[in-house]
Amino acid sequence: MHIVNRELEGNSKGYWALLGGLGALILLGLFAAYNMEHHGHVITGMNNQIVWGLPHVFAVFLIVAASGALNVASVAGVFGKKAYKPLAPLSALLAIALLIGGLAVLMLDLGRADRAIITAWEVNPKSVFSWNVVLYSGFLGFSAAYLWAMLDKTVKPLYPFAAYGAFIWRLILTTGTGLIFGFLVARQAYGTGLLALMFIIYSLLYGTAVYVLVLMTAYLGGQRPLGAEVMRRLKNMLLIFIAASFYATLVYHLTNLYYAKEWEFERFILLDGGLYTTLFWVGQVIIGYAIPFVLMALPGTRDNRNMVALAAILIVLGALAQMYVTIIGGQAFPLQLFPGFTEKSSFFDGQIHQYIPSHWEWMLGIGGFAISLAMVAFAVKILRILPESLADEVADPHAKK
Amino acid sequence: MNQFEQYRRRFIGGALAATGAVMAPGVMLMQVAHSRAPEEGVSSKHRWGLLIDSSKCATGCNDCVTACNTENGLSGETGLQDPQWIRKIELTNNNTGATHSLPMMCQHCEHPPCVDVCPTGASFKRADGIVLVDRHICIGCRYCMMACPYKARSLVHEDLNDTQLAHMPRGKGCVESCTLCMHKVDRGDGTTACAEACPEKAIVFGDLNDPSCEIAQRLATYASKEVRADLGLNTGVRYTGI
Amino acid sequence: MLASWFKSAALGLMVALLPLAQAGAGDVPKPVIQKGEGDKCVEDTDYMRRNHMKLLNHHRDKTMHDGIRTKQHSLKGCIDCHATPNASGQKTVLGKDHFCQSCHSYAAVSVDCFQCHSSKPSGNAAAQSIMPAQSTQGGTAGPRPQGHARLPLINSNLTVKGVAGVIK
Repeated sequence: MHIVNRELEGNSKGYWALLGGLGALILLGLFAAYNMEHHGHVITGMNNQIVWGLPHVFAVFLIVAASGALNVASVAGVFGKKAYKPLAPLSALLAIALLIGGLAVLMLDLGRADRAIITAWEVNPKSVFSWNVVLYSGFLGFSAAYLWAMLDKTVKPLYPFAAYGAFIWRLILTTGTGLIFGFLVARQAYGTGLLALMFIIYSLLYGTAVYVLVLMTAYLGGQRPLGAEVMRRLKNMLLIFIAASFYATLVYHLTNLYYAKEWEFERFILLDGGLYTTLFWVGQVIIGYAIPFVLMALPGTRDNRNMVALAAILIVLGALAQMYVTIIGGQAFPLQLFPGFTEKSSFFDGQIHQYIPSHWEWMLGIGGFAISLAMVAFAVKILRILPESLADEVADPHAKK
Repeated sequence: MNQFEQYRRRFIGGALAATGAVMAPGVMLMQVAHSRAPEEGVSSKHRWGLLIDSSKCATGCNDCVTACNTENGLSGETGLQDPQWIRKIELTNNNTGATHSLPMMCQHCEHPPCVDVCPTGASFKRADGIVLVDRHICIGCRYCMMACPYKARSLVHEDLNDTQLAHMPRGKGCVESCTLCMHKVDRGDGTTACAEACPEKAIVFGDLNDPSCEIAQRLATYASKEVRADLGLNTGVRYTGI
Repeated sequence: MLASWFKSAALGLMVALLPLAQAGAGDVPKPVIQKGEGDKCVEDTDYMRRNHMKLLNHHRDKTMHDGIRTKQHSLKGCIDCHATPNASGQKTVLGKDHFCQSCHSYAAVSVDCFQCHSSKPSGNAAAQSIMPAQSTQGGTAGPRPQGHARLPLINSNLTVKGVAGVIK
């Protein structure tokens, strides 16, 4: 059967409530940004020890998920899997939206947000942040071109370039995101190229999980059929990505555990780091990996799409926990200036650093999330992103006709 | 020690000091002669740095910190969000229990990680080795704070309400750190506020590139240490006695 | 700052509404330009009105990156000459009817120098040892005599104890 994409009607009360709710969250986020600019970062929980806080947890999650959200489209456009073709436009749209949401948070958190544009002409070729300015814009460009090529048959020659370009670019992009931390030589949590690979693997999981949630919401809300076959394929993807993410996490910590100089740090994250230990084990490992894996693997629950949705929600929560442990836990552990010595100073040397996020930071972070989702909600109403039907007999190339 | 011996020592000490007082202006004048005119730019012929003798640095003494705060207009508050350009670190050896005290500040690396990571080039190294933040283009991203191995940088978290000193502009939302008293260096003072204030003269300022300079001579004579030498940053601030 | 964006947005709105208000509006009051110290500015007054920002920007990079601290085009020089006492006697260039702010308010151009720079002349910001004699003649061009400016400073550091440290 032929696939027909059509705009979502988007006239229901639910749709407007969703858009209104997201709009309110965006306004709250902007209000927080205004206050952080006006009063300075003194109103946040961030300090001179924990310099990147909750906004960065949200921002990096959104940016990593953005590149992962493109995964579904790449499977269709690069690896030629026909079954994913109808799913691809939403994938590219989501990638763009998540990136913009994440960048908005990152930019609005700057100490001098009014000067963010300076990064456009004052470029430091050695800075990963400077590279990222290029990588982000390139990713938006490729994804937009890809989306255009999918929606407008008159620019078909563009399709392969855009599809391959976006795929390669997203790998470079997430490499760049991982290396923001990977290039930090001094801190024990970072300073390894492994972080680039970890972030790519994580991105596949996080992006696909967000994709599943957005797709299900859109088809439920738009009252369009979503077949079991599509859900089965997405669920299998998530299973593989959970396993890969767990593996990457395992290798990272095993490597550290092998180095005597990292023992104190590992003890902090894995054993006695309080909130960070809890977030790692309960948040990242159990909620983020174990429970969703079981839900999607066990015969009793794996064919229940509500359980897949629940698994995706848990993956997103686990992802935020992972970002919190990686970004804030990595800073909470003090720098070791003098290995072998116990350090004490007025600047909190040698002690675990404190950080309690303020409501402003929550507002800004959630506001960024809302920007992404509002963009998607708006775009599916004005663009032909979503197929009218993803029922098995339409979407499954192997379905018996 | 008998009384005569004491007198003898005191006399020798006084004579040495007097000789020093006579000679020092000559030595200092030579330095002044080398300092540059106001319209002349800094050059890589010099590399300014500090040599800190931890064995002279007294636990509990905070004079260098106070002097820095006064010189640069910092409040001296030590809350989680307050900037600190220099701080005293008390060290205890985990195995032997030996204790040391030393001041820690920007180490003015030859290869500063903060300069590498800065997206706008606001974090930069002057030709004479002083690592600075150009607040005109600093966007407050705090990446340099993440990258610095010495925790030398601070973000200004709140409005300073025009309490800044005329020679030391500082502002909300920008990152800052020790400037090696560049305003004093540019003026030809040949020292920093912390070095001037140290009652034990445990901090020596000078030109690492100038073999006639005290700092270079001491470095050539005694064993000294870079903090986190394993990172290969070639710091401009060196320590002895740890 | 975001605050200034909001301000510009508000300004835009006001401009849009201006025709409505025109009927009752009188002339915008001209800025109060207080005379600075000395006979004349470092450049022609006309030239300075149009180009002071270019000179300042150029000079700021030279000072920041090359440590060049000539006084002719320095912001500190501007402030030293143009600061005038406010109600509490503090010399400053900021505040209604003070040199920088008065004109910038009139021209509706935000000035962000003073988010970081002190608006007060170097002499009385703190009892610092900075160029005590020179601070008031910031307008005069060219290098200042070096030896005279520096020697007293160095001599003042000469204590027996200090020298002993150097000799040791």
